[in-house]
Amino acid sequence: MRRTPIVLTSTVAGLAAVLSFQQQPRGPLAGLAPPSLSSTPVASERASKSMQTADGIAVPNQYGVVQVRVTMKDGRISAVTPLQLPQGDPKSAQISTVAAPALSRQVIAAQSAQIDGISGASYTSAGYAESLQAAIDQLPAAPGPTA
Amino acid sequence: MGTVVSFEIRPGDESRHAATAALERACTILHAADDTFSLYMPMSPMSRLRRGETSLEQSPPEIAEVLGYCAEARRLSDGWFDPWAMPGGLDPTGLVKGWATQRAAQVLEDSGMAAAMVNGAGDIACFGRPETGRAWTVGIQDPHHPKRVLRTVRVERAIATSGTSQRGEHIYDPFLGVPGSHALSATVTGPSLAMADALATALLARGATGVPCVRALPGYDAFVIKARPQLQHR
Repeated sequence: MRRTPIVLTSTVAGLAAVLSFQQQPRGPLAGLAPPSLSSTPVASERASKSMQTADGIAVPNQYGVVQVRVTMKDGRISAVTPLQLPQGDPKSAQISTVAAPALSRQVIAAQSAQIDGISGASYTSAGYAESLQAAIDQLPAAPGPTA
Repeated sequence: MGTVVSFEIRPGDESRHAATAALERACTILHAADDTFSLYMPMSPMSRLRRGETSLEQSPPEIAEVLGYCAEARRLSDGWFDPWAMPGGLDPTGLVKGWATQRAAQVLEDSGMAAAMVNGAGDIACFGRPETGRAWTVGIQDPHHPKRVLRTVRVERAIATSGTSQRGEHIYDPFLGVPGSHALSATVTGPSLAMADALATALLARGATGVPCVRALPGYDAFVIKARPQLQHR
């Protein structure tokens, strides 16, 4: 079976797409960008065949400087390693110790989870093509419980 | 202005013919809801009621049903969801999309389908399991980066997210009487998508202080994504 996007407008009526019931495993969400770590551009990139790392630029904030390195393996995030975290005072150092592994786990979980749908600010017909849900709708479906 | 509804279905033992017929009924329901409630269509029953050209009794019964849910949502949200306090007049839009999406999912479930997820432009109703041992998993869009997922949530029946990222500031503060929002994004899960949709709208206006109000309702949970503190660039 395939996901069936239905365009709901005042001018379009009826079933917009035809169902097909093929059963095939679904790959990782190719269109899914890594979750936001910061809005900073990547400063350097080193590529090998299956493993890639990218370092974010160092972002200073009121507590100190934050910089992370993201490791991609086979197109998915496999690790988020802090290169610099605020250590200026004991409290910041303590928070950094807890926050870095938690951030890493969260990012990796969000990347590797099989996602069936996206909930977010609603899109219009025009905005749908650019939405993450549209990317998911283009993936072949996973086998169902009775497949 | 229209939107797109996506269906993900697991027919199970249901025949292909029955599943297709159920999908067609679900689509009919969505189009009918659009025809009834659209405020972009000046002659829709909702637009005419809003202008005072018709009475509630003269309107399709779905309008009274939706306004009933709206009144309940207003009460449960301590007044933060209030279709009667909108600047242009009565506007149940904050609940209608969730209500219609939920009805579409209900039609599929009543047909005997094993599992399905119906995504009405970010408001999702589902039932069953996508595969054995796994719940429906929904990614929450990062309000700062619409192409990115901030976290994932396992959903049993319904999840709705209200945000300011895609349509601009469309949230109205019923107490101040001005457009406003105390969060970038608000998500509510629970048994009813109509209610989750309205509560997410309310929570976006109210901010994190409204989360306990939602969690107090049986079966509902909520979280908000607050404005990110400004980074100080050198």
